[in-house]
Amino acid sequence: MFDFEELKNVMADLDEDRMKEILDDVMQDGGSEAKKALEACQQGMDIVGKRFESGEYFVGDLIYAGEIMTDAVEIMKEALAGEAGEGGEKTKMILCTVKDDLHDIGKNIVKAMLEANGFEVLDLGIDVPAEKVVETVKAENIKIVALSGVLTLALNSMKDTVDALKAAGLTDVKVIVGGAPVSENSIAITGADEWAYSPQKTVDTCKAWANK
Amino acid sequence: MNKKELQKERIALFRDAANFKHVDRIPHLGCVVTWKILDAGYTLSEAMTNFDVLEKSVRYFLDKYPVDAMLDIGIRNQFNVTEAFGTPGYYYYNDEVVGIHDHAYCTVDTLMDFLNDPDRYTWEKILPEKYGEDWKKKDLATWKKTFSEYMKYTKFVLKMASVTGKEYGLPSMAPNNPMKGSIQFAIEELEANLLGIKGLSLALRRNADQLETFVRGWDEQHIDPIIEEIKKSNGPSEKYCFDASIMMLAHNLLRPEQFERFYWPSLKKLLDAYADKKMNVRIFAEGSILRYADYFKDYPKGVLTFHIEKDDPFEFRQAFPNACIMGGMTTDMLYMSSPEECVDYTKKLCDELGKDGGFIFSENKMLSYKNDAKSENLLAVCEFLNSYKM
Repeated sequence: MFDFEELKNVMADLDEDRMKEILDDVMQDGGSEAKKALEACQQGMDIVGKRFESGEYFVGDLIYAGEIMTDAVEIMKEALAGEAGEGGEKTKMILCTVKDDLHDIGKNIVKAMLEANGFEVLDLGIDVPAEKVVETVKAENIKIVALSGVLTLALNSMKDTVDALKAAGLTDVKVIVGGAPVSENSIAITGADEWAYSPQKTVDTCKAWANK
Repeated sequence: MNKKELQKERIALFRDAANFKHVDRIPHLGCVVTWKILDAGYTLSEAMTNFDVLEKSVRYFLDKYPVDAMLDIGIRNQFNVTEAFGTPGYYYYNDEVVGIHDHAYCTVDTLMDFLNDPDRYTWEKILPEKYGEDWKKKDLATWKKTFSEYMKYTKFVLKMASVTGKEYGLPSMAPNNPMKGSIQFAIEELEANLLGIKGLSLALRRNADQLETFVRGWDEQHIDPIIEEIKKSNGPSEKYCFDASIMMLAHNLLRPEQFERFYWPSLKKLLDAYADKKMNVRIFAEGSILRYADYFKDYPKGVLTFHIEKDDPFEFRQAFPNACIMGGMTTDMLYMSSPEECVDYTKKLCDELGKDGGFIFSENKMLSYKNDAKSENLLAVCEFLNSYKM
């Protein structure tokens, strides 16, 4: 029996060395408790997001947290693959940086945190045109789209994407926008359903939508 | 008043504001980069490799918007030189956007190789990795063409300095540092070029001791010689609005204890040297600097001018009562609001922050994209600032 409470806490404290020690122990028997370990890591990431929101953690911490969470999943990959289907289907969603914007650091932080919270994230990358989002929403039957951008110009592309989804009749798709130029006003400008000032807000919003 | 006198008056205006002396009107630094190209009716693709278009954009801007100084006189983000040498580059541009990809010249393990011999490292590591197979194909003709373009660019820089100074009476913001370059702290170079944002974020936790060794070595090469020259200098120069200009961005990544270890010792010794000579340093603090207020609290008025981005200026004044504030006007407001709303807010900034000096109006971000400002809003603000008497 492993101390998953400790694992959650070392993840939250970004104690990479201790986290890897625990996960190596978890994998000693082939990873029979990998799923519980993953949940503990996810809970730790949740704390990381909250600490960022409260001003205890900073951007560098989020980048680092995303990296060690990725490492954690990698360590347990085989065991987790063996459990596929046991935990029910994950909510699949789209994440991308919108057209004319090539910034991806914020997007990648959000991706790591969404994945840590159980989403299957289809990362369409950067400079993504509205048509590609619409096409993927249709092909994958997506209900949640998260659009990221750093340039003020990104607001135009976010609006274009929301308009394109509506024009395609995909009115049941929820869209959240986030990034440096985004504020409460961005909902009116872009037509999105929500906006986010932090990765944690994105996670919380998407979780609320997925649970409806 | 001729242009030379106007230039002198503007320098005095910036200097007085920075020294918390009463000013008759609030000076305005136009924090405008590529937005002026778009506002002049050109695309970035047209301008980035065409000096004529760049010059016309600057002239169009200065004929239309009466600012007291400009952050960029049309010489940033110019691509003739790099394109002559061949792509790919770290920068990218199209008709509306210019940007830079996150990149890393080094790994943590090669940082000291770079520090010990940057020329060799650049030649043997950075350029071959950047250009891949094309690196071996760089022939003499390519090098000649590149240097030729570089010389043309140098002439253009001098020309624009002359145009903005002699024809428009615009002063220069700050001199190069005494070692004839820009001031770059180790942690900024690590973030911008050597490790990149992600690489630095990871190294701060995984390789802290190696980073610290690099930072101290960098200081010996790049910061300490500047300090020695400052000690020999005669103090503030009347030729410039400020005595030095520093860009801060990497502090946004750092935890307080990381700032304390990797950034503050280098920054403090440089600021102390300027303070000893009663010189004023303009610090462009991207993101937020508020949480570091305590570090700067002992400097007397007249040493620090912070060009703030995300920090609320009124909150900033409370936290940094000793620092002149540059900035205040957000791109959000310049794009989303009406001219009347922009002018009302500008008046509030002047009245509440600039009564006894200590405030220089500017935009909070480098205006770069078309959505960063509406022309009529910027125009209304410029006209207000020129006529509003304090």
